[in-house]
Amino acid sequence: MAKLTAAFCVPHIPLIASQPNIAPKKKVDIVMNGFAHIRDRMTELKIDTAVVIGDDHYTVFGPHCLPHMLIGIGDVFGPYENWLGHERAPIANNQPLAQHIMGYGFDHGFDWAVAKSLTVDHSTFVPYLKIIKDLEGVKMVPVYIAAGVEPLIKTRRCVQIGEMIHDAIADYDSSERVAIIGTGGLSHWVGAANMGKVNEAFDHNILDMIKRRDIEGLLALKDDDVLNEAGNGALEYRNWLVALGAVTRYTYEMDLICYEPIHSWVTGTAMIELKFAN
Amino acid sequence: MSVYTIEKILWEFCEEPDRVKAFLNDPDSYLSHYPLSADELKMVRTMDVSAFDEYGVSNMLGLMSWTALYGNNPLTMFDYLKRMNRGELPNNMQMPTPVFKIMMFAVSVRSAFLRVLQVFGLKKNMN
Repeated sequence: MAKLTAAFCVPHIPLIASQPNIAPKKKVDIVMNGFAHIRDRMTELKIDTAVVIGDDHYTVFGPHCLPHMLIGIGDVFGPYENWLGHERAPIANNQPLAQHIMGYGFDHGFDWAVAKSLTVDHSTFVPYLKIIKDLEGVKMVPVYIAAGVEPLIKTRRCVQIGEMIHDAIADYDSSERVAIIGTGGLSHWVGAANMGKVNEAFDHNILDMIKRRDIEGLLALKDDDVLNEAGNGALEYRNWLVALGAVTRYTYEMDLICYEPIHSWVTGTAMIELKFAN
Repeated sequence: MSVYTIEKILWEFCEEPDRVKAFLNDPDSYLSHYPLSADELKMVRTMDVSAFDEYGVSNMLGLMSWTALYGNNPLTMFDYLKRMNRGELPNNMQMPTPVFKIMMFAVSVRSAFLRVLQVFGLKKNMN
């Protein structure tokens, strides 16, 4: 059977793809070295596929349809946004695994919205670009949850989705080794009056709770409090909850790869690995 | 009519460049096709981003539609931020003070230039 072998949480700041150097060089280097470290870990762990958890930013999906949870099972392209400065191109999707996760979800009470053709926005494109693209043979399965545009998915459901993805991978008849990557920033205000601010105390509190494996503490956070203290972008910690949910079957150890408050990237920027034995 | 109508209008700006041109060329005609109240019409007509915020329009969509209409560059981005803060541009991004002052000046010059164009009827949209 296939194995969930690694779990990471990373930023998906669009400026990483479009204009990284507007941030101080020292900080840019720290983040880029973090991505390089994750690429090395993916190679070391012989990862075949990464399930990447992103959220739309009113880009891919419009007011006519806002899926709560969506999986791309077919053709994948990216990026959606031309202002990222990268030409849109096909992205290798592990279609058999994506279709298996979809079907496993349907059988276990998770009514996925499904994209047979999906053009991903920066939330999954940036991690693809910085981690997966240059790893030979590694494919991506894109998953979107409603963490950016209201109505938002419930946080407990995010953990359940992660658990289900873990179980679906374990149920997949293959020797493949799979990683899950939760994406998004910590504190950040996207398009809000506070855009550019970073709440380091909030960010460290989130990281501390993850380190202590305090999932219930994370689930107890109120959206209004997160919004007020850390901005609309911080609600993306839901993407991280999916990755955390995928490793709740294990006693993981959090490895903090980096944390930088980067005001010019308008985001508290962290990368972690959730290490576990499987 | 509702916040949803405004979000639909803004999202369409991001999706269809032809709509951006049509709106900028003749905003009143363009918006006449949508069921907007007088307040909503004024809000969209002037792209009043802080009013959008108060009305419950997604900030992400407010920002993206702003850049779809007026360009994705530092000047327009800081102008957006200034409007979101009702005329006060905060240094949230912690730019060095001299650089920030230059940016504040450039945003003010841009706004003044656009006002002149509007006074002479060369521009129908304020931004």
